[in-house]
Amino acid sequence: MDKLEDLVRADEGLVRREIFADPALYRQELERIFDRSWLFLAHDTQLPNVGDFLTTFMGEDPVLVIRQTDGSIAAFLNVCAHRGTVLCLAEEGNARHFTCTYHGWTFGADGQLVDVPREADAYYGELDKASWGLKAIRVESYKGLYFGNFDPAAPSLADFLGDFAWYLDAVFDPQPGGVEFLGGTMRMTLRCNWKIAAENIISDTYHVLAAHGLSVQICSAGRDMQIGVEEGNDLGQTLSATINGHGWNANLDGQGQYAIFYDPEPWLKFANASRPRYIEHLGEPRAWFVGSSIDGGLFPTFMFVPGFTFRIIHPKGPDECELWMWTVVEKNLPDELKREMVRFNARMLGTSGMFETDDCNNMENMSKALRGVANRKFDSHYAMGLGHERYDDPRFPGRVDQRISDNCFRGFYLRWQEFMGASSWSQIPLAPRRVTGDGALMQEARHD
Amino acid sequence: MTDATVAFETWFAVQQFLFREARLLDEDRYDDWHALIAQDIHYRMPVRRSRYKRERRTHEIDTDHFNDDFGSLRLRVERLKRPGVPSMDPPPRTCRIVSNVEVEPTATPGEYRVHSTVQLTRNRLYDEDEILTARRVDLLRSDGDGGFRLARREIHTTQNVIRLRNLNCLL
Repeated sequence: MDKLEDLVRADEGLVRREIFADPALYRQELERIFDRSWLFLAHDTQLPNVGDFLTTFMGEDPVLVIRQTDGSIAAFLNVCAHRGTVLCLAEEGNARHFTCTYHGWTFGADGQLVDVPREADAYYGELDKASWGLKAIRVESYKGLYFGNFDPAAPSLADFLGDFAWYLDAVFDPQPGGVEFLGGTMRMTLRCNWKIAAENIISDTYHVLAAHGLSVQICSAGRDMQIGVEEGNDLGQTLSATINGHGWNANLDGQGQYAIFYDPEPWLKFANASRPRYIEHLGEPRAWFVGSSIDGGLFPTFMFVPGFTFRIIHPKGPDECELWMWTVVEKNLPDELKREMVRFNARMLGTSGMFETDDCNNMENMSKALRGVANRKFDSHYAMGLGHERYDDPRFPGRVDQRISDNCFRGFYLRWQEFMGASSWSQIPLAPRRVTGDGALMQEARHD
Repeated sequence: MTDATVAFETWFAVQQFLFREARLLDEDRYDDWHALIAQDIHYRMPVRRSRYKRERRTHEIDTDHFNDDFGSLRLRVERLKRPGVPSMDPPPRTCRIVSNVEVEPTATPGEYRVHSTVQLTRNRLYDEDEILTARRVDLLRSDGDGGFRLARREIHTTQNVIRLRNLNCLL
């Protein structure tokens, strides 16, 4: 295997294709990325009642997420503490306790071991139940989104996000009331490496032209609205920003998100009516992200295209992953528009999506081309816009460029390299901060 | 069997309709397929869930893999038939097997609730071979001319996580 510094050469915009295929690197990713990153677990609105639970994964580890009696969210390894079989077999529900199907050990919603068959006679009353509860996972939240982290030495979620939260607010806290996750989860298997699925959203606006051009044409029905891939959009009208490996790619027209909606009119009406509240809540120019075309995500696997999809990518081996997709809307959106958003998400970037299915085809073919050995030795090209990024933009935090740029790819793969090369969190850098408490930017650019 | 039954001729005609509809899709005759659906069609494939039997929680607004009407199906058809759509060109080779057809009368004369199963075998690109199986519940409406229009379809696939490489397939 090549050395880490050869696999990713972010300053040249080159990434060795080996990293999308090699089993040893995949194993290292599970240990060095998924075992110590903040990974999305659930949103507040998915678990409204005490005892509501869902099961998910962190990396390939099964995880159980439960609403506690005090209203907090707790997460545990979804594994019986006794012998290690999967504890909860359902993907969602409500429960006060969880009984293992193998030997019947029973755990409370707080993870404590509460009942053991034959405790008195077979264990002679000597079992120390207090030390055999479920393995608890560190949980922290941002704007109703709960994240888990296996690593006690990891920095806080707030530090992990850093100034990127300034952008995230425009998606998850655009006005008082916030957002909600609607309905259920669309799940599908993708036969490609997880990073291929991640980079498609965390940075890749460029592909929309070629991969989705026909579908855009069919769905926009002759309407002349910008969707974010048009020529001549400089920094300021459009933007890509990368911070701590997270990526944000957006326009600032406040309406492009709706350009290919079935009927953009009610959406434009809602956005226009809400604009004063967006401006009051987020300030200028941030408020204009809302309603604009956006694609982005958090390192490593939480991705969003507001209006189209919110998703996590679960790794399932070097050449397979799973997409879990949700519809997310502003809470105070009218009910009929909420229903329309669920329908629309399925139709566009959902399992049956007229855009998603073309993405899946392209992404799977990338992994398919890596079954041999020759292709793995070559570098992929991520050098668009290389050398044109800046750190000191007076309006936008992070390293920024115009939207059609490989800027966020380079941020993502540099972050990958930093995680893969570090034996502990103390060796993983956090980007300097420019955002102040009230969302304003300090003028002074600080970067290493 | 339900108590209510329909005439043998009706069962036969419904079955012929479903077979023909499947063949039109297998032959990539998407416009001809679209001509068989009613203006008020509601076409759904709900997401499935793996939950305990005791679980009763429902979602007021729920998620579907497909939730389409006449117009959005038209968009899908336009896309499916165009050359150059990345995931459909070269086009896949498909065969739909329709079976277990049961026809029940409804309160509305000329409208029938139809249960059936469909198994899609799809071979795409060089060597990708895959199968999707589903139960369907349809509402068929007589067109007054010996044929039917599809007015409602619910597709219940066995797959929780969709294992098919894409759902670029009408069922």
